Amino acid sequence: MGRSKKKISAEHTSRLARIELPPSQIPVVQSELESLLDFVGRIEQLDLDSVEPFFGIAIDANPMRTDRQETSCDRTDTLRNAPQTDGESFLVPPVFGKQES
Amino acid sequence: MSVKATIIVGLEVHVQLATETKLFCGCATAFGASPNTQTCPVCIGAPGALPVLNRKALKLAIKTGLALNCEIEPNTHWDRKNYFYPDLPKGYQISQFDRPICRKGYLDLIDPQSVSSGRRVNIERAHLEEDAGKSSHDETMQGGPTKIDFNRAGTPLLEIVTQPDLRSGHEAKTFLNELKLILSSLKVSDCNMQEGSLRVDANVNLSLATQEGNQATPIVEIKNLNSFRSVERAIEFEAERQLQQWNKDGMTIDQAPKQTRGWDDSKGHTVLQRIKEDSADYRYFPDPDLVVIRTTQADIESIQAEIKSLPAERRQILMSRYLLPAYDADVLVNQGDTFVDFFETVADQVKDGKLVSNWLQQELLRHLNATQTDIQACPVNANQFVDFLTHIQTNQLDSSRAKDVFEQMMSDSVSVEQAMKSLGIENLDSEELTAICQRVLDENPEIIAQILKGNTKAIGNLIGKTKSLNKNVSPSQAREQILKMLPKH
Repeated sequence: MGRSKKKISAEHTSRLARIELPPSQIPVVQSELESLLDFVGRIEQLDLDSVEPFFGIAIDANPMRTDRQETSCDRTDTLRNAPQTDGESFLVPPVFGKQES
Repeated sequence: MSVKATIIVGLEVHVQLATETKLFCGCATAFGASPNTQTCPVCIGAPGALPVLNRKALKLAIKTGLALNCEIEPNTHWDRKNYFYPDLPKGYQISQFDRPICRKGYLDLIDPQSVSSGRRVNIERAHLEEDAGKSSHDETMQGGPTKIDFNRAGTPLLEIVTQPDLRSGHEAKTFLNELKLILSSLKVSDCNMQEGSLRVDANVNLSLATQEGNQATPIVEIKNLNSFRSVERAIEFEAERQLQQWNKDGMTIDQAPKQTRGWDDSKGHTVLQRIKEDSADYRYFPDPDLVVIRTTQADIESIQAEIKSLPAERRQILMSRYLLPAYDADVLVNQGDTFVDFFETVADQVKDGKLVSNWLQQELLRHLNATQTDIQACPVNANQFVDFLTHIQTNQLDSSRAKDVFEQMMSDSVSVEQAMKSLGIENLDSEELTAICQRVLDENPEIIAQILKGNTKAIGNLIGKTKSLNKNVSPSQAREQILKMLPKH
C-alpha cells in the first residue's frame, strides 16, 4: 500500500477547499501541513504486513434502513435559511456567464 | 501520413436504482415532483444530520454485480468525494473509492450480425453513490441566478465502469443494449434515459500504429449522451476528430491532459467543456458518518438465488429448445423478458418455434411499434395467439388471409373466430368449392389447353379466378380441387 510521497501544496489545497490563504501565510501553513503529514506518516515505519486490515469498530452492526418512504420536510423549512429563493428553488449566483469569485 | 488507428473506448454508466427512497434517507425518489419537496436534513446536508444506508439499494447493487460476473466486496465502505458545486449540498458526495461493492466482472457482447459477437468486455468496478441535485441555468443567458432543486440529491446510483475494451461506437452501443436488458430483467432500474435513470459517459482515444511504434492520443471524456445512438455517433465522431488533431499537432496521451467534451446531437459534434482534474483532487477519504458494510457469502447466495434467467441464457434456450436461429433469438430477447415469456407460452403450445417467431417479429412487433404499445398491453393474449396459429396449421385459416385476420384481432382485440367472422371469412364446404372450380374450368378452356400443353404455371391463373368469384376460396384447396377436375390427357 503506502501513501503517496508526493509533497502537499498548501496553495493548491487551499484552492481546492475554497479557503482564502494570504500569500504571507502560505509558507506557514505549508510547514504546518508537512509536519502533520510527517506525524501521521510515522505509521508507515511499522511493519503491518501480518496485521489484518481494520475496517472499523462497528463491523458486525450493518445498520441499515428499510426502503420505506418517510415524510419529507415542508419546503418552507427546507428553504428557510437560503440567502435567496423563488419560493420553490434555491437561487445561487449564475454558474455560467460570470467569473467564479 | 497513413497510420492504423484503433479506437479505444471505456464507458462509465450511472444507473439510478429502483428504490422508493433515497440512498441515505427516507425521502421519495419519484421523478417530476415540485422542486425541493422531497428533501430532509440528511439530503440537503444540514449540520448534524446522519445518513443511514438503504438496504434495498445495497441489494440491487449486489444483484447487478452478480449478473455482471463481479466479485462482491465483503467489507465495503463509504468515501467522501470532495468538490464544490451548488447542487452538491454537503460539499462532498458520498461515494466509494478504494473498496467498491462490485469489482472485476465482465459482459460478453452478443450481436449475431457482427464480428464483435462473443467479445468480452471487462467491468472494472461498480460502486454505489448518491446523486447530486439538479441545477437549472438561466435559459435566456442574461446572467440570471441558477435554480437548485435537491429532490434528486441523495438518489441512489450505481456507477458501472468498464475497462477500455470496446473498439467502436457500434460495440459500445451493443454493450449498452445488453446492459440495459440485464438491468431491466433484474428490475434494478427503470433505465429511462429521458428521466436520467441511465446516464452514459464515454472515454475515447486512439491507439496509433506508427513507424515510431505505438502511440496514443489524449483521452477525451464525452458527456451529454442522451441515447445509445448518440453514444455510437459521438464515439465515431471523436475518433475521426482525434485522428485529424493528431495529424495536426502530434500530441500524445503524455503531452496533453484529459479533456471533457460535450456531445451536441443536432450538430453531430463534440465541444470542449473543461480540462479534467485528476482524481487526487477530489481528496477522497473514508466517511466517518457511516460504518463498513459487511456482506457475507450467505447474503450473496440469497441474492444470487433471486436472479432468474438472464438475456444471454434466454437466447440459448430459444436456440436449443425452440430451435430458433441466433438472429431470431436475439431479436426476441432484445424485446425484454415479457416478450420472451409471451413467445415461450405460445411456442410451447403451437410446437413450431420458427412459425411463432416469424409471426411475432413480422406482424406482432410491427403492430406494437406502429401503435406504440407494449407487449404487456397487447390486445391479443397468448391463448388467442395460439388459437390463431393453430387455425393456420390446420388449414382452417388460409395463409393468404391470415394477415388480415391478425390485423383484425389486434385492432379489435378479438378471437380468431370473431375476426374471421367479421371479415366474412368462412370455410367453404367441398360442394361449394367444387362448384366454383367447375365454373372456372368451364369458362376458361384456353387456359386448360395451355396447362395440358405443359404450362403448369397457368394454373395460378385459374386459382386467381376462383378467388375472385369467392374470396373465401383457399388457394391451396382450390389448386388441389382443380388438379383433380382437369381433363386427363
